[in-house]
Amino acid sequence: MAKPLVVVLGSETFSFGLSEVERADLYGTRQRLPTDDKGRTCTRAALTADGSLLVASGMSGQGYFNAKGHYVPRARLVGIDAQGLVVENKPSTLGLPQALKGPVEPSTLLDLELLSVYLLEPEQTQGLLLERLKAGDIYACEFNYAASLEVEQAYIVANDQGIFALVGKPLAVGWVEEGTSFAPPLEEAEASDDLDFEML
Amino acid sequence: MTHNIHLANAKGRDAYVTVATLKAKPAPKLSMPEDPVVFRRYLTSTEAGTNAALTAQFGETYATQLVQGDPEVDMEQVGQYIEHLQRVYLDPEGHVLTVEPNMIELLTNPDGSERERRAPQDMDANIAHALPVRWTGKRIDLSEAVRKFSFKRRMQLRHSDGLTYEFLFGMAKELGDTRSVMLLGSGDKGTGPLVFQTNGRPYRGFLEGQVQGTSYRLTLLLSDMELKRPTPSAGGAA
Repeated sequence: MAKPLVVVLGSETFSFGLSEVERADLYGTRQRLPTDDKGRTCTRAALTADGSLLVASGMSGQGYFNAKGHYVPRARLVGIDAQGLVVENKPSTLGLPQALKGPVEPSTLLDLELLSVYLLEPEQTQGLLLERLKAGDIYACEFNYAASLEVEQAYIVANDQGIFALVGKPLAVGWVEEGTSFAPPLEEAEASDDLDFEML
Repeated sequence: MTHNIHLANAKGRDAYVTVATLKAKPAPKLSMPEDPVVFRRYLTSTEAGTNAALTAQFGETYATQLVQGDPEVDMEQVGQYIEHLQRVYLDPEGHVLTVEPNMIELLTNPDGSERERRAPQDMDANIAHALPVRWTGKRIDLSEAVRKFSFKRRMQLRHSDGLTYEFLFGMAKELGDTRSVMLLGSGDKGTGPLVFQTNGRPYRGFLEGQVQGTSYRLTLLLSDMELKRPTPSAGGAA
């Protein structure tokens, strides 16, 4: 079981058990299945381009290779950012007290590329944070479910169903100026290399 | 990714504008500072090296064969990079289908149990259709919307000329002044979900906007999930 999410608001510390909520947990799933002419479910596989090898489930792996084609174990790799600088691994934030920021404006929550939603179960039954969340306030804190190369942002909200943490990466949204014009994307036909000389 | 969207405002005036997905800064990549690496897919076993094939080949002596040699490894094949693969389907006996498979749509309940099997129902893209995506008139306070829906994607709308600037600026101002989001709808009744590509995931779309001087930010918030507590009996359309 995962460690709890521990947050600090003022002088009070709160712990929450957490479980991820996905769309399938609420509404189920819809998927397309291939079947043969007898109605039996088929499985997906792949053929190499020359048709010489059939690659079915469990017959392939993925990994990192250097320029010489040597396999490089993941443990020897480090994070490299867009500037080519080494990035330190960030530990999980679970179980470690995280200072809450807020209450934040509701519009702030939109500046998030949402990656995960967690249902939070408070270990306390009362306290300032729970009251503020019920009143509609939104709080933010740093969040990392597991160690990774960057720390994500969590926004904690509540509604009549429960308390939720919306976790993701910050998103920058620019202003659109009056004088800026944006050409609409080319239609596929227009973008084609085929030139129609019939119409000349 | 940028799309065209055919959008109508509260007065029913419509225009084609562009809408582009907003993305967060890319995550750092795993590599080695002095020895860059690439991520590749490679072959770990051939058909003859699978557990099923080896069990059939060796039977009782399977374990002994593994101890004494490497029958599971084809030294000529295993380890080679595999790319540019062509998708095929295997029947339950493991034979490659030589004709296109039939497709069925399987719907499951939240607990994973099967709800329905049916013929696949195609869903056409509808955001740049002759019928515009419309304001439904259903306005929700922003503070309520962010606590009710999980917004999975955010897209920014942009003008392409002076007329569409006025069109989008007006919408952004109205939504910003009221600090609310507007539910959008597709189709004849203007209540359907938004579908960006054929058989793509349908989303509920909400417009959100703000203005600052003569600049504006008008974004489309896409949600396919409410913020709800899962229950074993929860149901609904998948």
